[in-house]
Amino acid sequence: MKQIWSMIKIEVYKIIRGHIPIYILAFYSFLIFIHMQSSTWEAFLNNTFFMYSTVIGLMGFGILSSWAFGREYQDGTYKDILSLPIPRTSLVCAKFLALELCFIGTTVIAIGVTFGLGSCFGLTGFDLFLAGSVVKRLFIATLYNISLSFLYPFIAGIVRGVLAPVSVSFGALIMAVVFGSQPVGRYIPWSVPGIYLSDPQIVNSAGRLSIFIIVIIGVYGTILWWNYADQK
Amino acid sequence: MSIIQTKKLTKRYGSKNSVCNISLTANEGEIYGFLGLNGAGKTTTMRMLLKMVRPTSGDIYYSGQPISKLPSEFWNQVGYLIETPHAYPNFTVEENLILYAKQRLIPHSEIKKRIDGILQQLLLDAYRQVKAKDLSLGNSQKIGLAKALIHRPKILLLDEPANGLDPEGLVAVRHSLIELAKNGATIFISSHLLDEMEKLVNRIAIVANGRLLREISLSEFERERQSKLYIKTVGSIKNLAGYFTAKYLQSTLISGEEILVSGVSIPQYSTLLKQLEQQNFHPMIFRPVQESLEAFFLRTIKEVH
Repeated sequence: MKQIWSMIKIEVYKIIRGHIPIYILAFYSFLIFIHMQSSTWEAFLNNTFFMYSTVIGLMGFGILSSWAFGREYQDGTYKDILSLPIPRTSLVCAKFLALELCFIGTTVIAIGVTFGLGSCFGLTGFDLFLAGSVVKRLFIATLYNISLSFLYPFIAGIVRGVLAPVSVSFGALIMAVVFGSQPVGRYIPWSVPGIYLSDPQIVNSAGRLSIFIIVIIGVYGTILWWNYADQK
Repeated sequence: MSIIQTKKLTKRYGSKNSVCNISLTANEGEIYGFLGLNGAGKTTTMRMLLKMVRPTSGDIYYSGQPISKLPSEFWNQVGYLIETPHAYPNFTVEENLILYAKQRLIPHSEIKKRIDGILQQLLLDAYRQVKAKDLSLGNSQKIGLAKALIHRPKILLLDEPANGLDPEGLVAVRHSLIELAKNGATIFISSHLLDEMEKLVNRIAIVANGRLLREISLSEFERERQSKLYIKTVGSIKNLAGYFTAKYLQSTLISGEEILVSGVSIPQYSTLLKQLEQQNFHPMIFRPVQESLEAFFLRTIKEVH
C-alpha cells in the first residue's frame, strides 16, 4: 500500500508538472467568457457545466489520460518503470488513481472558477438548493467521464504514443455531440454524461452498462498490456 | 555462484529468430561482456532478462530462481540501462533522479545524499539544474547510468553504456563499474567499444545472428588470442612479404615499412630475427603484438560464417 501511495504521489507530481490540468482550466475559463449569454444562475450553471462535461470531461480528461500513459512511450521513459520493485499492476493502478485524483481536483477547481466568474458577471436568482443540485449532477457526470477516460491509456499502450488516443478523444467528443440529442445517444457511452447533465431521468441501465464495459476494457486492457505485451 | 543464467533462451518474431537457444552464465562479481554486431540479438536478450520482452522459449534464472517466481522486490537489486537513455524532458537532471529514486523506494532521507554522490561520480554535478531536454548525448547517457546506479544494485544490465561519452566520462564510468564489481555486483554489459570492454570484462560472450558463438573467461581469452609479429624495416617491404610467403607464414602489409606476421610462436622469434638479419632485412622494430579483443571478436565472427 505504501508503494502504491508513493507511486500515486509521483504520478500526481508528473501530471501537475506537465501543466495540462492548468491548460484545461484556462481553456474552460475562456469558453465561459466566449459563451457567456445567460443572465440567471440556473441557466449559467446548466450551460457552463454542460460545456465542462462535454468539452473538458470528454476531451480534456481524454487528453490528460492519454498523455499520462502515452508520454512514457513518447519520452522513452516506460523502460524506467517496467523493472521497478513494484508490480506492474500496482504501477498501472497508481497511474489510474493519480489521474482520478487530478480529474476530481480539476473538477473542484472548475466549479470554483464557475461560481467565481458567475459572481463577476452579476447573475441573478442564486439559489443554494439549485446550485447544490446542479453540482451534484456535475459530479456524477464527471464520474462517468472519468470512467470513459480509462479507455485511452489502453490505446496509448497499444500505439505506444499520445497522438492516437488524443484523436480518439476528439472522435468521442464529436460522437457525443452528434448522438447526444438523438434517442440512440442514451446507449452510446460518450453521450451519456451530457445527457445525464441535461436530464438524469433519460439515462438508463443500458447506458450505464455501456460505460461499465468501457471501464472494464480500459482498466483490464491496460493492466494486461503492461504486464504481458512485449515492451520493445 | 551463478547470478544470471539463461537456458536455451529463444525469441522469435514471426518466422525470424531474433535470439536462438542462448545459454549463458554470469557469476557473482563478474563483468560479463556480451558482444555482437548490430542485430545480433543483444538488446532483445537484455530485454528478456529484464522481463520487458517475453521469451518464445527457454528459461532465465537469477541466483538459481526462475525469473517468473521472483518477487517484485527483487528488481530493486537490478539496475539497467537499455539502449538510448531517456528522461522526462522538462524535468531537470536532479528532478529526474529524485523521481527515479522515489520510484526505487529509496528512503527519503537518503535521496539527496545518493544523488549528490552519483552526480559527482559521473561528473554530472554541473548539470544538476539543467533540463533533460537540453543535455548533450553524453550527459543524457550519464543520467541513464545514474538511474541504473542510484539504488546500488547487485546486478547491472547495461546496453551500450558508453554511447556518446567523452574520454573523461568513459574513465569515470569504467572506474565506477570496476568498483561495483569489486564489491560483489554482477555486471552484464554490451558495447561496441571493444577496447573499453577489454579493460573491463572478466568473461566474454560473442553472439551473431541471435546465436551464442563463444562464451569464454578472460583467462581463456588470454590463452586463445593470437600473437602476431610486428616488423618495421627500411628495406623493401615487398621482398620481406615474399620472404615470409616462401616460409609459409601469413603476413599483412600495414604500410610501406610495416608488416604483421602471424603463425610465429614466441620461441621462434630469435631464430626468425637472425634469419632476417642474414637476409639483409635489418628490422628497426621487431616485437610481438597481441590480438586485441576487437580482432579476436572479428576473427570469431568470421570463422563461424
